Amino acid sequence: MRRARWWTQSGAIELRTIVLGLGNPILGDDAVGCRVAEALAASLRGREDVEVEPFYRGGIALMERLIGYERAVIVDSIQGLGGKVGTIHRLTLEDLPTLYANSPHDASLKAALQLGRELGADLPKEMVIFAVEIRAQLDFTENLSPEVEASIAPLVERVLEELAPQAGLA
Amino acid sequence: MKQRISIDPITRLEGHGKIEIFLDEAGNVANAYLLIPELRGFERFCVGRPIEEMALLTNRICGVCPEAHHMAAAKAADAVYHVDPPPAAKKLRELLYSAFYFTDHTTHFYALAGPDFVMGPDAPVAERNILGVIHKVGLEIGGKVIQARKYGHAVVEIIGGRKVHPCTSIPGGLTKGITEEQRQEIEKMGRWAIEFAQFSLKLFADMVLGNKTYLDLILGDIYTHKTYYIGTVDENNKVNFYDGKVSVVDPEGKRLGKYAAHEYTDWIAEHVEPWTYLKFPYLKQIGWKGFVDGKDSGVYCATPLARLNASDGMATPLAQEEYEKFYQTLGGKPVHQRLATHWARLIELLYAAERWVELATDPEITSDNFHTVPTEKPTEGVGIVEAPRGTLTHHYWTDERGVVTKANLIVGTTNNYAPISMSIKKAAQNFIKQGVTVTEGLLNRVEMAFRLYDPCFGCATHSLPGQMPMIVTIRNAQGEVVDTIRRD
Repeated sequence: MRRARWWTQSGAIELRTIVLGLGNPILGDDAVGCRVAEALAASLRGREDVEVEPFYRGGIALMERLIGYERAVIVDSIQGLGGKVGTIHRLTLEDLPTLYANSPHDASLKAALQLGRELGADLPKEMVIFAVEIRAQLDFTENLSPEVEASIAPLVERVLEELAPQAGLA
Repeated sequence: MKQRISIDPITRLEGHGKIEIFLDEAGNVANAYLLIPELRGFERFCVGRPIEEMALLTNRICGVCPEAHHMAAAKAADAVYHVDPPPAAKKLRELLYSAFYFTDHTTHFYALAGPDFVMGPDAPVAERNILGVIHKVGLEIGGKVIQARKYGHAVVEIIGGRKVHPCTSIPGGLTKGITEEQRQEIEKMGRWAIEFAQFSLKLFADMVLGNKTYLDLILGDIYTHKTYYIGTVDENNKVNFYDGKVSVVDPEGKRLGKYAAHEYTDWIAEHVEPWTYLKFPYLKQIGWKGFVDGKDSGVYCATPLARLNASDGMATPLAQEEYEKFYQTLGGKPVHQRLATHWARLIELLYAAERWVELATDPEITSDNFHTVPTEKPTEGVGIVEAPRGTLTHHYWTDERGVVTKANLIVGTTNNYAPISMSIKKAAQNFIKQGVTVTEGLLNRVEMAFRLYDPCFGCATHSLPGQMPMIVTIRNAQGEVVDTIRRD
């Protein structure tokens, strides 16, 4: 299995945290995760223990991407958790639905992570999910709604707080 | 935490993504509808952008088969520029595409079809997933599935430049070729892939074909529909995923004809129903006669089973052996039993792996001649590939600068919307009857009717946690809801 490494002048160190911003960059508010990942990339420059990127797939592919990291922070959009559009929720894996493979294409993330663990994959021991409440998105557009656009800056702050050394992640 | 959480984009669209079952006065199923979300405006979104951007943009439509959209858009862009890529470029694209197919079909079989057959339709929900499969068949199977995906992704990355969204196809070919060292690596992985595909077929034979209950379920009438079938074939009428003409056969297996990409509008038309945003493609020559089987109905199917039915065989030796066994076992061509699609998918898995090795060992594959510079003025073009879940058509019109002025896409699952609707109705009619309590197992048997099509409900799904809740609403003859069953 792959282990993430970061090469520095003094050699390789293992990356400990991965931040993935999930979404479809051309599906309106669904892109919020990708946009947060892009914004975070600048803020996290120089943090060799953290890797950040947008990611576009769920299920087994998402599990595979998490291999080799001690902790994962996932940023995604959400609908139906309550609160106004733009509300930020902080969730853990336990808050996600069942293991049932009811996707027409893939396993659920929970099932995929359990599969990975049973196969001995080196998966994050901790996972935090930041989810932004959005409206149902049916139209392709590169623009976010004003409410969701406004959530990007506070989301970036929340993720940075999560990654702060005092949070025990350095 | 008791609160329900829905994160997946499909979940967000749940108001549209559900099955509605209508009962008659006697309490039997009168009608059943699958309402699936349509993400609107993609064609409009393409307008005003350069045609060469389409191969990059359209693979964002879908988190499930970006490689298919990449290839269809790339082929359409070749056609728009009236340029024929050199043989090495076509072969490299097809090699990438074979590896993608291998990954996609593997995931479907082990994560989705497998639970129904390995665990059984009546197994508890909590066990009917990929974990249940590996617990029953062996942990090492799970390792193989992950390995299969890893190899598939590796080939896509080597040729396509990126793991998820390939970016190397441009009008006239590719931006880069492969080295001899990469070729050797690809060949090695392909040889492993052939063994894995053979192993998967053996597993299917042991677990499914060797089980009389499952075999009866496959061969029974509940999941059977006699429709037309379409699928892309090469010049020898053998199945091809990347290039060729689309073969159309009637419910008796007789070939109605073959059409080239640019002829698709002569063959395919779309029917509109008031209860869904999505259109129902049908065969123009036959006409739309409703959601009915038979030679007089223009309903067609485009799936792995359809591709086998529409072809004269497989172009690789091991897959051809399986093809022959398939028709011998199921009573000749065409096979109308839709659950056999799972078997057909595994035969395609083997073909994809064999084709992978064939192309990886082609003397031209490391050629430096992987791009033809377009010289003609761009106009209009159509690109067709077989997406794992059905024939995928991209059609673009551009101005003289190559800027898109109009686009039309018919995606894989759309082809199958009518047959999926018919299969759901028939399964519902068989399992949900007056006086019968709708159990988990019965509901799953209705789900099996659409799962076999490997449908792609939202060409945008990719995000956490990659799932769709199953919602079935049962209404009485007055239209009142008498039962709602949902699973998250």
